[in-house]
Amino acid sequence: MGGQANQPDARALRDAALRRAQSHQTLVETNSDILAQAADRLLTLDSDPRALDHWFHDEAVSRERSR
Amino acid sequence: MVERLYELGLTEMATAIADGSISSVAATQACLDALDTTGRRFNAVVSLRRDEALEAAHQADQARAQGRVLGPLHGVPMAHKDLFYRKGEVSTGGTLIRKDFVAPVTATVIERLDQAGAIDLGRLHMAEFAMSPTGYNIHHGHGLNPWSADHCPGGSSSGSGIAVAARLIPAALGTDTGGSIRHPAAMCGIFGLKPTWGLVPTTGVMPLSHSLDVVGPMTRSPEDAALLMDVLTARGTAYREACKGSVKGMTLAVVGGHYRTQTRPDVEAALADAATVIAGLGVTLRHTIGPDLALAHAGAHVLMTVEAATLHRHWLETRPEDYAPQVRGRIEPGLAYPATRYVEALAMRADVTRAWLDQAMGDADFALIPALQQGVPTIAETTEGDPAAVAAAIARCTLSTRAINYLGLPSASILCGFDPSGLPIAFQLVGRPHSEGLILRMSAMYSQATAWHLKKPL
Repeated sequence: MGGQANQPDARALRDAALRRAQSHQTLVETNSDILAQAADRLLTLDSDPRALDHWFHDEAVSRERSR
Repeated sequence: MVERLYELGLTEMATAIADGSISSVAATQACLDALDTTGRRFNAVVSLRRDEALEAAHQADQARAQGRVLGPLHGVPMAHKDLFYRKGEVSTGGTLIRKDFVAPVTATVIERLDQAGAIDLGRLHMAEFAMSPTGYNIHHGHGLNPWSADHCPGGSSSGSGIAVAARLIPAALGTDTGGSIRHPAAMCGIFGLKPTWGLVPTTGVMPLSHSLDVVGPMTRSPEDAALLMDVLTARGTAYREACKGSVKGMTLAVVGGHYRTQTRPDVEAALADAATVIAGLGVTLRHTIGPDLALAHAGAHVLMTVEAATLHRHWLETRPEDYAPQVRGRIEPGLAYPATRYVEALAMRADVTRAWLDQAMGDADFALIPALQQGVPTIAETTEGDPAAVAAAIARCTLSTRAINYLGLPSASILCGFDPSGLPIAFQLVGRPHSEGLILRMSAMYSQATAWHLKKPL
């Protein structure tokens, strides 16, 4: 019986795995949105070559204003 | 000569061995003993090569007696993070999965150190698979900060940071994928240089993310790092020579924006003091607003996790229980990104770098940003309690470091003071690609002007 105290609880493990998966999903979606949004402006065939400067500037101004 | 030989800096020890003031055997024995006692107390050591090191030191002394010079590190003892391969010897990578892995090759940087005459004392503590900014390792135990054992030593090159800061060895190698040289350098109060991506060979070094990994020196002074950079890049004396010039007339960008969003007041004050000291060297200060780093952070996350998950996919499927949950949880998201996101992250890298240089630096020669906006965290706050709070505490460590890897830029972590608890505060000096010589020169002049780097933790 002594060994059972050290066995991981199956439900706790499953819950932890679920939380981890949800956390991964959020992170992956957030980063994917940021990349896709920038790629739409930068990497398409008709992209403005200076689009990134505008994108960065807009983000920086937005952050400064929100402080 | 000092009573405790292991406290000598790299250049000082190399000079003392070269001129016969001390023998390589004496220096090697002293460093081995220091690692075996104090080093193990702070959990900096994985394994020591005692017999092999003493034999190599003996040969170095014999060579000197015969008038032969092996190289600029003739007979100088060092030890390194446990991911630099030496053919036929175990390199664990801080893991359970590779605890018996015998390296099939010797890392190019280890070969260069051997050729320069250095003595390899053994393997130092590191985060599992180089995947933690704090020094966390569930298999080997947490590394301990020599300034305060309750605090993180920084990772993933934790043992290198601890051993160099505690004066157990004069220098060590580290690797940096999102800050893994700069975190332990900042938290332990030493000098760490993350070189431009691609400058120092990574062959024979356990990879984490090919697009981001770099190898670099961890030392107590910039001059010692210059000596190591000369050896690591096989460039003669170029970096040592670069240290000797002037910085008068150069410009330093003091970058705000993202880099000041979460900066603690005492860290802010120490950075302002550092900028004032640098201005006193004849450098013009220019205050800039750095760009938002959401895109660089997203790109760094995609590259690191996708490349790591590619290397780890088989083990994630077959041996998931052999990873610490914290480590596995940081690799697994890489399995979920579409291939288009990975290509976008690579394709935008050059443009994002250009935009960062334009906005953060303008025409300046360097940029000054924090190393750790919130200072050195405790081990408890990065390992215990609410998982979301733990994750946030860990993420704060990389706020000012991880984007630099995506940009591929060189950056040094430089000690610039201590907080009220006596823990180190550091800033990063970022430069343009391949400007390591200028960074080393500015760092050397700053260190000479302040002498923070001479303070000892023990």
